[in-house]
Amino acid sequence: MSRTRGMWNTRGMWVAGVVLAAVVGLTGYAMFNGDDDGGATAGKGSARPSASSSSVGAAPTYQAPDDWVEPERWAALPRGSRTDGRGSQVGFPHTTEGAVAMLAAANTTDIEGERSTVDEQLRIYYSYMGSDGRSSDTAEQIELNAQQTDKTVHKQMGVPAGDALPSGAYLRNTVVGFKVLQASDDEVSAWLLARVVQKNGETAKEQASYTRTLAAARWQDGDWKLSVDATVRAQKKAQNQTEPKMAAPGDAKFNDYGWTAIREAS
Amino acid sequence: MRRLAAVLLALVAVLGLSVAAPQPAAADGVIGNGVEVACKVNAGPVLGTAIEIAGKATGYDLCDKIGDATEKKVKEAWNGVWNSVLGDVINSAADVSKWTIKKVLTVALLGPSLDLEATGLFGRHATLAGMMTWLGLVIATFGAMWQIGKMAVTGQSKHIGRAMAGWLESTILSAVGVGLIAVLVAAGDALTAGLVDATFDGGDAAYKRIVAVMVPEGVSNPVTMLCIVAVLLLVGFIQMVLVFLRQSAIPIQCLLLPVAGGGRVGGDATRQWAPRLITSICVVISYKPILAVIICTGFAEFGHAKTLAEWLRGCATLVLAVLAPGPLTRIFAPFGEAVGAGLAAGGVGGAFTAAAGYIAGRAKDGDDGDSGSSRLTTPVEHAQYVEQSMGRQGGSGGQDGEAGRDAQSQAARNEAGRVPTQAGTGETAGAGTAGAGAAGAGASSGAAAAGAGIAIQVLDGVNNTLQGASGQIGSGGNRQ
Repeated sequence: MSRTRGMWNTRGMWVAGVVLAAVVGLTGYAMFNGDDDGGATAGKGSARPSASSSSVGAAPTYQAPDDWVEPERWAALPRGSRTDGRGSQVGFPHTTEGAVAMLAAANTTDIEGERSTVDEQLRIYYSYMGSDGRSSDTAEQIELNAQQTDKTVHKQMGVPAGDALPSGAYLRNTVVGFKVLQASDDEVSAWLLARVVQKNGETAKEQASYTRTLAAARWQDGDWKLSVDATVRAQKKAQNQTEPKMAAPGDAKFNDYGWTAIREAS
Repeated sequence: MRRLAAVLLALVAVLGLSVAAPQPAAADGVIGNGVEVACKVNAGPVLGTAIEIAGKATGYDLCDKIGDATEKKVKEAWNGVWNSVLGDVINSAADVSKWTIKKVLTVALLGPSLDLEATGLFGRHATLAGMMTWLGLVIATFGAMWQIGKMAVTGQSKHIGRAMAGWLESTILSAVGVGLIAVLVAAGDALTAGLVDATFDGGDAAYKRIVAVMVPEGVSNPVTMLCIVAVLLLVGFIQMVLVFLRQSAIPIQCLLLPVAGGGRVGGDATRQWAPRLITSICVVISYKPILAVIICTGFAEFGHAKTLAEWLRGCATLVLAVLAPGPLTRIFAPFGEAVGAGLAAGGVGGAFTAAAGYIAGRAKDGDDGDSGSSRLTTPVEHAQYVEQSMGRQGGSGGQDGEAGRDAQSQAARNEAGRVPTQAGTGETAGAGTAGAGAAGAGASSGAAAAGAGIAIQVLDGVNNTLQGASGQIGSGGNRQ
């Protein structure tokens, strides 16, 4: 016993204990430090963004590119109050922003896996088309056109038409900006700036393109709906003026052309 | 042949590159139509269709994608070219290349080879074949006279023996040669038809698919299309000439058989006619099945996608088919020489043995040579075996410019021949140095050579040189 105690009381043991304490302390410090870093990367550490950017040694984990020009106009569009049977958001507020939100929702598509262009086009038709654009002929023609698009997409992705898309392949349309053409209480027409990305397979490079779509909505039966008459009126009005050119958000021209960026609120 | 291959490959490389050059610009360069269907997956087509069905179309595009303006301008420029005279030229060139490919494939793969009987050259009243037989007889007679003279000068009875054997061979070649060729041609046809049927489910589908791949529809860039048809016209035309050459070569070769047979009677130079002709006949007959193998392999895997890579692969296949006769010649040259050596060694029977030995030797190429020779019991058989195998190796020896050495080597052989027991090995050494051209030397040179014989042999050597040179020009098919 005494021999054991003597062994514990040696100078070497004290040194070892101090070293152990130092290691534990430093590890803890490093862990907490690392935790802060990770939080900032994931965007969760909003509590101390100024601290991390003001700290001398640690480089900021994200910063906008040098040529990034902050869009002058931002809009956080309202969401639909409910989701219909086809998975589309409906029930938008009776405001101009609500109308734009409906147009943006109608233009947001995701073609991936089993979900084909036909599915997405018919979803847009059944969820958002107003009464003045509905007929069985229209639905049929939309389906036929979408089938042609599907054939093209399948060919590009290297699978037979009718099959599911290869894993990792997708074709997505995301609305990133808008410019209102004309707005009244019950009718809103707008240009929509969308980013289309296509990836033909797991290892393929993603391709991207921008589109500009003119669409118009009309307040109908307690919700905003796509309207043929309103769109035709918007087309006639758009013919008399130059359409805004396409530019990505962050580009100086994005502001020059009069686009408003859409902020995805959580 | 190698030079031709180099030229063709260089052409394909150059033209292929210029085909490839406009491609990236259209694919993802400045024009940048990254996502082709970008305007077809949003609400644009839904609204557009509804407006159209409602009859309210204004002609204003609901959706534009970035780069559309540039693309429209480029398309306009291309359309301008298409509508100009150059467009007509390109279109008609495309038509011609389609026709060429179709014709080549029809003749090369689908149609039957030439029917020898139908040519009327070999029937009862065939004047041309009769003339050729007559010519063969004349040559044979002259050859026999030459051999008799040689015998008289040298005092060696082997010369007359050689003439007699040659006469017999000539008769057999004339009698069964044409029939044998007809049978082989028919066999080649059957092989080709079977291959095409198995690969493409019928020949009609075959050339439709190949034409669809090689002359793609809807190439909007006129320069690309021009390059494509230029390459195809060149390759297709050469291919077509080759295929038709094969068709017309068969009757000519059949007509030449009696002449080549007659040559067997004469001296060393004329004795080489038959092996060379046999080589070229083998090449011509096997060209069609080989072509079918190449084309079936090259085009079997094609789907419906029309990419540049596939086009290049198809083009390479066609070029390969053009180049096929070169290697074929090389494959059959030693075979023909083996047959020739066999003819020299033991008449027609020997020729068949030699051919069989050649094939057997090929089959067990990796085996130990001793296992083959151990079965041979007598020295004569052993000598024949050695000679056959030397004849086979002679193919790589090269004959060019060696005909002049023939007289010396003949003298060397005769020196060796003075020791009768070593006749076999002496022959081998001689044949080894002189190449295949010396393979026709007499096998039974047991008798001692007379001094006067050297003079004749020098003459023979001069004759050989002349014949060798003319053979190079006329290309018996043995050397390229």
